[in-house]
Amino acid sequence: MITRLDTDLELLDLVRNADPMRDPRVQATAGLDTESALRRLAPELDRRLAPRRTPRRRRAALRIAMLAAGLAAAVFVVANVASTENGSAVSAAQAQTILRHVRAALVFPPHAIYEEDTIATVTARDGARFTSETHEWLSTSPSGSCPPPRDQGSCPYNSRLVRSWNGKVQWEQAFVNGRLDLYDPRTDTIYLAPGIAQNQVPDTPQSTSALSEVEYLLTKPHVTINRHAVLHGRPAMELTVDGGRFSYWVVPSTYQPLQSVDRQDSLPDGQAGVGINRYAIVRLLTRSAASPALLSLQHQHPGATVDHSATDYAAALSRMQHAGDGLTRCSRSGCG
Amino acid sequence: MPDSQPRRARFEALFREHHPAVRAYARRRVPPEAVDDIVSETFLVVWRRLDDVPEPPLPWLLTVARNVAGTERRGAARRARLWLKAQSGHLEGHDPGEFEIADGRALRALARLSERDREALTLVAWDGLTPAQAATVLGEPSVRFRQRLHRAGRRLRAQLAAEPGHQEPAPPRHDHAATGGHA
Repeated sequence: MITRLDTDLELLDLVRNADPMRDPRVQATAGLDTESALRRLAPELDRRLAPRRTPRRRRAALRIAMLAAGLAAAVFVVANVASTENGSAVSAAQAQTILRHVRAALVFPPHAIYEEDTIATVTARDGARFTSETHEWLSTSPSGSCPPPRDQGSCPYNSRLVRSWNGKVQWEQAFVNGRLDLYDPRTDTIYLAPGIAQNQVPDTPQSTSALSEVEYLLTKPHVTINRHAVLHGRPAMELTVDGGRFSYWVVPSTYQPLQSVDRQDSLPDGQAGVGINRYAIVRLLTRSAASPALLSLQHQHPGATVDHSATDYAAALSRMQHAGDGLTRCSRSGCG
Repeated sequence: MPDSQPRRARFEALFREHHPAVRAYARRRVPPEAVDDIVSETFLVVWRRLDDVPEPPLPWLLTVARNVAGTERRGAARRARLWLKAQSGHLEGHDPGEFEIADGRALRALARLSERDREALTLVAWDGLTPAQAATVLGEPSVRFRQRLHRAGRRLRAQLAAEPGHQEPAPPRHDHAATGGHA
C-alpha cells in the first residue's frame, strides 16, 4: 500500500475519503431530515419571537450600563470573592481554602480503585423524568507502561462501568488495556473488542467520573459559597457556579460530594429540565478491597458467553449506542 | 406581529438550504444522540440573530455550531462520558472495512492531530469550505490559516507514514507530474 502523497490536493482527497459521512451507517444516525427538523423547531421559534430591536442609541446606552454593571460586579467579587445567601460573608482567603479542600476531596491517590455511583435525574417542567445511574470502578494507576506524551491516550487506565436507565441496566463496559469490552445483559454475553480504541482509552484516572465535571466547574471564576446550607435536612456546604446554573453540595466537615444540580439540563428528547446528580457512593478502595476483579467483566459475569467476533461486537456497540432511542419517559405514575 | 412572516420565511429558506451541511458538520464531530440538539441550538441562534447572518452564511453557521458543540460536549460528558468514547471508538478503533469507511488509516491519522489541525483539514475536505471560509470558522486570519493547513497536511503525512501497513513508495516516474511532495 503506497501512502506517499505528491500534492496537497491528493492529501485533501485522502481526507475527503475518510469522511465518516460517507458511511451509510453514520449517515443513518445523523439526526432528523430537514423538514422534520424544521417541524421540531417550529414551536420553539414561536416561543422565541425575536425581541424588538431597540434603537441604536438605546442599545449603546444599554451596553454602557451593562459594562458599568459588569465592572461594578467585578469590583464586588474582587472585594468579596464569595458571599453566602444567608448574608454571612466568606473572605477571599477562606473561599480559597474551602475551594482547595473541595478540589482535594476529588483527587484520589494511585494504586487503588475509585468507586463512584451517580444517580442522575432530569425533571422537565411537565413533571416528566429521566433517571440514569452510572456505577463505575476506576483504577487510579495506569494498567501498563505510560510513555510520554501522556495526553495522547498512551496511558490506559482500566475501568468498569454499569449503566442503568430508569432503573434498568442497559449495558456494562470495561476498558481493559485500551480495549473497550462490552457486556449485554439481554444476551448475557461479553463482547471482546477486536482492537484498541485508539485515542479513546481513559488517559487520566478519573476521566469518566461524573465528578470530573465538578472539578472542571470549580475552576471557573466567581464561585459562591454558602457554608450553612441544608440538603435533605442535613447541614451541607453549597458552592454555586456559572451564574447560578450549577450548584454542588458537600459534607462541611469532610468536603465529600453529596449532590450537584444543573438548572439548565435536558431530557434525552431535548426537553429542558433540571438535572440532579446524587453521589450515592464516592470512595477509594485500597489494598485487598481494590480487587482487579472489580474491573473485569469476566469476573463479574463468570457464566456469560464470551464472544470474540468483530461483527458481533460492532452490532452490540450499535445496540448500546441506540439503547436510548426509544426510551420512554417516566411520569408521576411510573415509567411507560 | 406584522413583520414576522417575512422574517420566518427568510429563516426557513436559510434553514432548508443549510440544514444538511450543519447536520453533517455536527454528526462528524459529536455522538448521534447530540446531533439534533446541536442543530436546533445552532438554528435558534440564527433565529435570534437573523439580521446578523452574513453572506455567505455557511461559515458563520458552522462557527455557531462549533461553539454549540463545544458546550454540548461538556454537557454530554457530564451525563455519559463513555458514550462519546464508544462512538469515537466506532469510527477509530475498528477495521475500517467493517464500517465501509473508505480510508480508516486517514481517519486514525487525523485523530492523532491536534484539534485545530484536524479542524483545518476537515473544514476544507469534509465541509467543503474554502480556506478563507474555514479561517473564519476557526477565527484566524486567512494567511495564518493557510500556514496551519499546510502544517496540518505535513503532520498528517507524518502520521500516515507511521501507520501500520505503510510502505515506501516506488521511485517517482520522470514522465509523471509527481513532485515528491511538499513536506
